[in-house]
Amino acid sequence: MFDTIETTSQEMTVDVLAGTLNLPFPDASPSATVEFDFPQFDYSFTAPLIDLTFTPDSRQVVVRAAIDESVTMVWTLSGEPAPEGGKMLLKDAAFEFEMESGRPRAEFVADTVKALLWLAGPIRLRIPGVRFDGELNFDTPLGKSNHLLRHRWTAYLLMVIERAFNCEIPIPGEVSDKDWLDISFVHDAIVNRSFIWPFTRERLPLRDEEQARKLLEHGENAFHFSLKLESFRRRMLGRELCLGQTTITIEQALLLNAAEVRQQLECPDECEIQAFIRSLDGRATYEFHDAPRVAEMEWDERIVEFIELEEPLGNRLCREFNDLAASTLAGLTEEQIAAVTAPLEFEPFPMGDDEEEN
Amino acid sequence: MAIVTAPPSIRLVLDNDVFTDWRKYRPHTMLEITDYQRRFKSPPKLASVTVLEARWGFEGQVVKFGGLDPQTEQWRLEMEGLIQTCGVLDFDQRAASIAAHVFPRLSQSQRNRHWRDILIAATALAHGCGVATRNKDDFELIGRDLPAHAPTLHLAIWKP
Repeated sequence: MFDTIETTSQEMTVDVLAGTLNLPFPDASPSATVEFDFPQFDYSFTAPLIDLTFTPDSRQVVVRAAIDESVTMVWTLSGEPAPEGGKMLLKDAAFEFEMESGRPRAEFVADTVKALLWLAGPIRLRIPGVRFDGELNFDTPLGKSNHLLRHRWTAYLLMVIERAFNCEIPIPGEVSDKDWLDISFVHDAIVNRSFIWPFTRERLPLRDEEQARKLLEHGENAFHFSLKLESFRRRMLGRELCLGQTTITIEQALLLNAAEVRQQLECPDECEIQAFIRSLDGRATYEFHDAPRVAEMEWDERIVEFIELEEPLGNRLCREFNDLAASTLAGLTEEQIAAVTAPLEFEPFPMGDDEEEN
Repeated sequence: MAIVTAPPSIRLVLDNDVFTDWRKYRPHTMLEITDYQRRFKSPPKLASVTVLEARWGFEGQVVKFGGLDPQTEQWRLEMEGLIQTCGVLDFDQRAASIAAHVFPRLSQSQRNRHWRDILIAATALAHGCGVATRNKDDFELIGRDLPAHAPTLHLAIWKP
């Protein structure tokens, strides 16, 4: 049973550039398809037509197409009779998805189709079996497109993580910056296997007493620190994932809890010795020796195609970002630009006799 | 070592000079923004003090001319759209603590010259971000006086 996700909203407008439905409406053959063509991206795909309903009174056609194994796209096309008769002129279009909400693959597929509609310029929508041909253009606020692309890529990263761990991980409706970083970390561990990551200060379990003693020898000086953990765990979306044997290397480390480590050495108990380590350069190198893997070519053709759209979609979004930034000054004279971008000049700390150069 | 070069995995806040370069369609800034967007799937954030300065530019015109003509009003609205799209990081309690530590350790002339850099750096640090700037020197001065508990300040130098 699928949840229906409403994807059209008042913030999004659709401009019907062209479109006709020939009347009377023929019955679609069982093998009919819906064709999506994005000329600006030089990309197209087809989806099997599930059913098509024409309601003469409301002059509406509802088209359901199977985009993926658990994603159905529902188009509602509205029109009015053409003056010459025999056809209906397309006036409005809206779409929604019936899908397995929260499943990364379904969300990735639906988000990709939405992103194409929102960012890939005019779309040509055709149903050859019933001689429908329409051209539509969607206009969506940039912030929504950005949010959509990030949600789409998060869904993809979770697809990879699900495959690697052989488990189901639902994607939250809202992905926070922290969620994004956690998901990226786990994905990079699986795919890239080694990377530099921000590291401020953390408690790390030491291998043994000898390692603890060596750390104490550095006193307050920075030192090269490398630690191999047998079972590195990382929290992500409320669950703990084991990334296996991992080496963490910090080029300029400081031991922040020397007294505590010394005390643990003097009065050993059952607990492992933990070093509270700060990285002076704010980073650490992580190497994952046996994190789960995802075999290459594990995706089917539709998913591979959709993954490859990441670059053109991202480029289009970036172009729109850059254009928006430029539009805040476009057409202004140099003098006007200087006026509206002038630094805020004031002296919150008045100069006086007490001026001291520290 | 309070200041280091930002690794690609750290999120960034735009310094005012970079934000202005972006608005001026400077190619090197657009390339950096594009590269950042590819990595993080969102544009760099703005510090609230950058929003103050961006709005001040337009409000100054309102005061000077008694209002904005329709075209300038449109530019102002575009800028608000840009601000909303980037997202704004608040100058919160943690940022205030960092800034309060730095200010008294600078001379008054340094405070007056770098007050906005201090607020941007403090905001970035408080939110676990680095700063994308053209002027490394300004932030090195601040980095020298960061509190011991503050994270390392990561800088990305975006200039031609």
